[in-house]
Amino acid sequence: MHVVDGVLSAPVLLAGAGVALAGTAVGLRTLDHRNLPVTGVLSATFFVASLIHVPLGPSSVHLVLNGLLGLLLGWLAFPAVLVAAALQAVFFGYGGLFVLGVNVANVALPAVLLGALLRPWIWREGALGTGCAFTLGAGSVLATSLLVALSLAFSGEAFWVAAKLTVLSHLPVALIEGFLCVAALALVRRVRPGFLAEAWQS
Amino acid sequence: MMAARWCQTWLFLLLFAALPVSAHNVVGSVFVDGDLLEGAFGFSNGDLAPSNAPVQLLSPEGSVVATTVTDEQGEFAFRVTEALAYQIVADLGQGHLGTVEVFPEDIVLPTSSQDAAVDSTADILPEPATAAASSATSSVDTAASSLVLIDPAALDATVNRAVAAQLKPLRRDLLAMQSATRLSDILGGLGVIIGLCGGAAFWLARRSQGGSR
Repeated sequence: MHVVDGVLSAPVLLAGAGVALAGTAVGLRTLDHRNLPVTGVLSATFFVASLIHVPLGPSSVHLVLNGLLGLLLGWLAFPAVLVAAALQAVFFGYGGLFVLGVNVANVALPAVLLGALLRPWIWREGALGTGCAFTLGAGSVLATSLLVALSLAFSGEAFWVAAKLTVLSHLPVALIEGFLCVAALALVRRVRPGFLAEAWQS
Repeated sequence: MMAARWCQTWLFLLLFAALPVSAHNVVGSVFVDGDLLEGAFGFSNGDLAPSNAPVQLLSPEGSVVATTVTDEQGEFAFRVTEALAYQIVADLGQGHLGTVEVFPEDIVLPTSSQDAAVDSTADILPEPATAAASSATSSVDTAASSLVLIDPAALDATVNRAVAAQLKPLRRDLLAMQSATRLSDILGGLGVIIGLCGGAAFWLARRSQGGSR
């Protein structure tokens, strides 16, 4: 998911930085003392999740967790991802500081949009709610991998080759995240039923 | 319960049938042996670079001097004719770009074949090149030459090869160490997040105080 420095062209970098900046600004406006702790915790979770490698054939993948962030944080997913991605770049060398904007936008934007889209139905009991939760987890990862392919395509790499590789290779991650999202939401529903309403109130 | 078990098995099978993916950063190393630049690229999780990945040798100005591809061990080799601060860039696909730098002072060009190159090696070596063989080992050789005649250049080459062979596992270890994620990094990152939250809480508290006054 992390594109490194030196791959993308300048317009893509600028566009990504613009989206990330705008999203972060919108997110920070909704920040208050109630959603601050959950933002911090999810930011930390996102930061660590990329270190948990799931063995996958000859290689491995890591979780992204952006669907969960988008649903629980809304626009606050932008600052949460920004902080975590910046720290990943500095501490682990994932991505880089020049491409930070693009990486943040690629991860946070589909999550926020999908989260907002599915929000009305996701708390329903039964199959509809479960289906929505799965779509959120899996869809966010797939949308992000599609955006990564797009960023590469606008920087000269052949789109279909890049898209096929990134999307296909993230299919298993998408499946895992779909199940993870279902499980996480079931837990939140049982432990704190009013959570989502609180998170999106402001 | 059965369903959960079945689901698990299915997920497991799917994981192993899926395509290889590498969402990690690229690490690389280069070892200079005379005029030969040898090195390897790989991923931070310990995977080797795929074979046939393009590797470019860039001059300090950024122009492409030579290109090659990685072998099945993720390794590459270039032979250079000038001692420059080269950059070696490997494109492992899907936006994975690795860069290693070569220090010009490590490069020792062969002295016998190119007279022009002697000048550039002369200011790299600590002592000026002697007329005979241009290397510090030549004085050692004169002592031994009463017994056996050894070509200093051949001796240099042999020593370099032996050292390179000995260093190879060490380079691997270094690469692995470079890419290992340290606990201190993780804890440091988490600490920064906690700190930022604390700062934000402070700012929010001040703002709400200001508003109530």
